[in-house]
Amino acid sequence: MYDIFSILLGLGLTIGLLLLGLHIAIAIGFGGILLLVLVEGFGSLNAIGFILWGSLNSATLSALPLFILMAEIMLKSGVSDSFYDGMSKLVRRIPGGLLQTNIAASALFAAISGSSVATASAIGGVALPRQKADGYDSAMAAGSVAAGGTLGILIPPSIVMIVYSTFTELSVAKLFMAGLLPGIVVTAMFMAYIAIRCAINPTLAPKLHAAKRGDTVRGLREVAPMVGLMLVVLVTIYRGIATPTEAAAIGAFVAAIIAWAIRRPPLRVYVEAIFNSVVTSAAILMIVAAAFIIQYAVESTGLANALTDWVVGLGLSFTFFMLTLFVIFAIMGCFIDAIGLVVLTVPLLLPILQSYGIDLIWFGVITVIVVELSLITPPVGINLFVVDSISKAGLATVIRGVIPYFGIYALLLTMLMIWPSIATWLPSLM
Amino acid sequence: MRWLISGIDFLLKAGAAIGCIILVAMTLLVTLEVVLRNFFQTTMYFTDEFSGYLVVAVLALGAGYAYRHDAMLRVDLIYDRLPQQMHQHFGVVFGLISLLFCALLDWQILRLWLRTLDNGTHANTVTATPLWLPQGLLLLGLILLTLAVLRRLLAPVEPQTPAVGTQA
Repeated sequence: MYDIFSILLGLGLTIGLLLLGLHIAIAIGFGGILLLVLVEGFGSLNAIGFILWGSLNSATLSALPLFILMAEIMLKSGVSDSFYDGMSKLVRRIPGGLLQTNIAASALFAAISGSSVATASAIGGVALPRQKADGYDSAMAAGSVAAGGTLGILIPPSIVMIVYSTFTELSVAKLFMAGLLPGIVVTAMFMAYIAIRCAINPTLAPKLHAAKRGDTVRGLREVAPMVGLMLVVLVTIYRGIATPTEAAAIGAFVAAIIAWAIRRPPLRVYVEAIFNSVVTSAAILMIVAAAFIIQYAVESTGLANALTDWVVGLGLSFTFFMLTLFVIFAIMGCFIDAIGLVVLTVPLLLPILQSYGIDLIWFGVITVIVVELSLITPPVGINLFVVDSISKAGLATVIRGVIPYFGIYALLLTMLMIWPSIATWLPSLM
Repeated sequence: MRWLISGIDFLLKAGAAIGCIILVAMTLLVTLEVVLRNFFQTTMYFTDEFSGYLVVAVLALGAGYAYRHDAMLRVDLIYDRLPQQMHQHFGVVFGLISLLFCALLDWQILRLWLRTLDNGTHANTVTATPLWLPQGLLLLGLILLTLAVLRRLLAPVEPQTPAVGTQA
């Protein structure tokens, strides 16, 4: 039965509670239950046990805690500490010096850590004080760290992509590969932007000291653990040696060995990493669990179909439809975190996307890019606050530094609309 | 009251600790499967099935501890700007909603578990795992989460910065 008043009440309450600060998982799950009770009555709740068990008991989802464990081991053991220095030795010759390091280091670091906020904090903590002392332009430095942090959810392995795959039933391996090329392209565009700005106005980035002999070799040695780990994960997936879940387990296992080989951390460090992984995984998986409830509610109340009929009835062109989605996503993304946004919108949008004949792998990449964009959307994007709190440059300066990257993301989205194969080519080879 | 709170805290920590053991077991199991398949041309048959059970266990057993330590993700844009007194009121309302939600989940998963137990349902796989076992872990975890919510209502703790990075 389709009852517009009950649906509006249910959805309104969900979003209201979410924005007021109730835990995302509980707000979404409670909203789903409310929607079911209002529209279908209490009897409809009896399916929840089966739905939760059936959807969560999934080998695909088990990739999530394993990738988180891999990242935690690398971060907690301190293996990633010398990574920034190593990267700075490698990219120092490109105009922009340490600003280029911010981008290149963030791209790789974020890919491993899977968290934009953690990346902006980790890279910002090392980079910003040093660049301030060296006389770098504060807006350029802050902008590069805030924007660099967003690169990780696109470049695999990406937690958001795993969550997206559970609701679209797409191959995680293909989704990972779909994000790789756009991730590399946008990283290159970020670096090109910095190079051009610094070539035109050299005062933005002071000249670095002349490179010492053997710097490149030392740099390579310092970035090797992170790069090597990422290669292990990506190559095993791409060559079909392992599924993403298996690659995640191998990644976590190899990370533990790398940490032992390089740092010999005490057992306590491993225990902390495992504990943190369980806590972070449970927090994310609870949102996924709650999303299965609201997905069931949306399907059984006929809301998704009604919405599809309405949108199709509007007769919007593909471009206009996508532009509208970009705007809605960008606004929502400022308030709700990446995973919350994906689980709230994708189940609702799926039938509409199918009616437009949209490639869901391509759409996954687009969704992730828009989510990244929302992390740096002024004035509420979370990375702006993270960088502001580290740099103390003031929010206005951070925003000034970030706006060009906003433009670059918009350019990337336009490129993906015109040439979808930037995202779909690599997965098509698998 | 104090013994109740420290009892719940102990249970939550024990749940998370079991979750840790399960995560390590999952890592080793899946890695071993890849090694066996690629180097010894054999397979354990049950790796996919078991990693599904184990991820449910990690979720369930970690959720209570995550709630207790405020690591559950939330939108704090408005919440952080509210005066301290409002936090207390919101805390109670949110706590009651969370309790209701958790109780509903407990009830539904308990029904599922009892039915599995009654029917003696086994997994339709080589191992024919009795499903009451992994489903029991889900039930246990959700009860722990309910206790964590109850604990927060009994003795509110001010939200701290989560010990772990939010995966945004």
